[in-house]
Amino acid sequence: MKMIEAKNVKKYFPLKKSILSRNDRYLKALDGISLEIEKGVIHSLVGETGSGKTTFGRIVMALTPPTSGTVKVDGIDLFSLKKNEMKLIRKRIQIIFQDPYSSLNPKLKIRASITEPLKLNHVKFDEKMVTDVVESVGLKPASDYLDRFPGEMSGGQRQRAAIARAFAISPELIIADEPVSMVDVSIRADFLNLLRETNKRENLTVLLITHDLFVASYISDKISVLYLGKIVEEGSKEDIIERPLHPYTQALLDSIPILGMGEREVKIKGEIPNPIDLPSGCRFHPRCPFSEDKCRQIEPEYREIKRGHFVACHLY
Amino acid sequence: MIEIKELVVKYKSSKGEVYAVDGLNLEIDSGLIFGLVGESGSGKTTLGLSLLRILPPTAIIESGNVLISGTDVTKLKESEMRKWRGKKISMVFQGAMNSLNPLMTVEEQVAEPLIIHENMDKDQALLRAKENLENVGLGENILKRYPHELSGGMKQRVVIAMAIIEHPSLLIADEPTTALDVVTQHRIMKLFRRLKDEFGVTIILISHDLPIVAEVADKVAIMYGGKMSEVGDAKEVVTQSKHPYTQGLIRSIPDPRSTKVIRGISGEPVSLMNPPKGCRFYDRCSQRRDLCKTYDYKPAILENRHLVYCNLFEERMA
Repeated sequence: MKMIEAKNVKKYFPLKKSILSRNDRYLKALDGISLEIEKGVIHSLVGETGSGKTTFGRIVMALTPPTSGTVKVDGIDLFSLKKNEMKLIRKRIQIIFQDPYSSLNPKLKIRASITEPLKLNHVKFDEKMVTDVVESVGLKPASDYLDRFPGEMSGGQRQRAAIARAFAISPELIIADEPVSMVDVSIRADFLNLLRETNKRENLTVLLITHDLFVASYISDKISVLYLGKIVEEGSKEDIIERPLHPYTQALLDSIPILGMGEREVKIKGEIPNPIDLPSGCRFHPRCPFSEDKCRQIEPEYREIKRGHFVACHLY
Repeated sequence: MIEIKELVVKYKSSKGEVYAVDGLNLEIDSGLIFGLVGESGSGKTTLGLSLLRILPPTAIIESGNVLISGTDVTKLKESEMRKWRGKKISMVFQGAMNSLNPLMTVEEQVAEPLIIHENMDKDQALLRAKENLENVGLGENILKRYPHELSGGMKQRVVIAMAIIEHPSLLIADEPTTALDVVTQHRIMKLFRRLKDEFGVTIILISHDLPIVAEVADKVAIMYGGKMSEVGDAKEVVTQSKHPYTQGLIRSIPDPRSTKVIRGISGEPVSLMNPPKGCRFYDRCSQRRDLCKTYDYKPAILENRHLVYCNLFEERMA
């Protein structure tokens, strides 16, 4: 069963028109993304700043509509729903944001932050349930934390509280946008383990949005690599980490420092171009060490090279 | 080149005093890349700011000495200290790439310190700016551009060019790669390596990211709770770490090429408001002993000047 089914999702942001130019210009944040995520899977969307990964997350959360394309969550088309139907689906999706400093209401005690979504969705709950969920994220004993304000907690504790809030309503899908990038390294591992455990125990589906292949490789079952609004490669974690095909994926992997390994050679050139003026042909060609004439002219097709391993590159 | 002796820096706040750097000793040889690694609140930025004596007004250097090339900067007059900043010691601040003046072109910003500090005439300063930008890998096409036209990596290079324009012998870079993409991070680190090799500048890299620092640094120091935990040859510290904190830190870094389960360090980073009397890492240490409650912070000195600030290690050696 598929939890998320996105078909040819595009998101163009119109740019301010100049008086002289006739043509409207767009920033193409997402330029045709198709992504399917099976239930119970941790699927990571990896990309650099400006790749469109957060925009995609926002669309799946129904926070912003796509310019075109469809997104289904558990078979339900997100953008043809009525308001009350939307409310029902929202209950099944929870979000963990990057910044625990701005995603918890500073004027609500942790108890209130956690129970608010339950109340809004008319979910019955008791003290034990609140205690359990808070302790499950490592805030033990819960009584020490429930009556605190976010300002009285460290960054790590706040992020735990934010995760507890997301878990409290027993969602089927969690969208986590850079959930650990603001958490100290020494406690980061615990978050990832917690996400993995909950995924296993509750058959929770997770869409993890991150720039960090370290993090993605650690907990994902599948990884999609996003570049300038398009998926350039997708496969199982092993496919992507051990047998990457796309030169961009290879470069990302080469860029990861491994402790004690010494210096590495990264082959690609330049930086991610502006999504307003997309390169012709393959959008990666200006940075690609293997680019040929063909790459400058024709956009490569996104093809399945091996069962479940897709790539968009003329080399294959 | 740098000798820090028993440095204590405290912040005053309404809730009490916070000892961000608490009795810290450190020696840094010239011509090296020295990585200063720690988590948030470990005191690494405060230490960096103390070297330049640009701490925020709520902070004071309570005691200790900071000797740079033999001169104690804690004793210098402010007017003298000013002459040091930029020329002898320079700093790339955390997030500085987002603080470029949006109304000035790149060449003007880079040349500005020369015009203000050295009364250089504008044309000459612009020429030097151009040379400097070349040194950090930016070509002529960038000179007349404004910050919003640049990518993050380019902006970081501009900031580095500004920091080195007066040829300082010491460059401190605070989190120079955070918020940059992995590919760009790698390039910026390579740039630091080249600056060290070509210009002989000593570089202190302050970062929370051990793998990135360990790749280019000659030596690293691991800080925890305002104190040192382990100092030594970069390669040695990451491959043969001795301090339980360093070991825990390394265990919590995922390696994409392995399926090993990573483990975090239990507990939360120590609060410096009421730090424990003994070892700062006591509460989270899996190998703690009673004697760690009253730890005096003298390091065990191993081969290659590898320093380990841990009781346990001395005990194990004996």
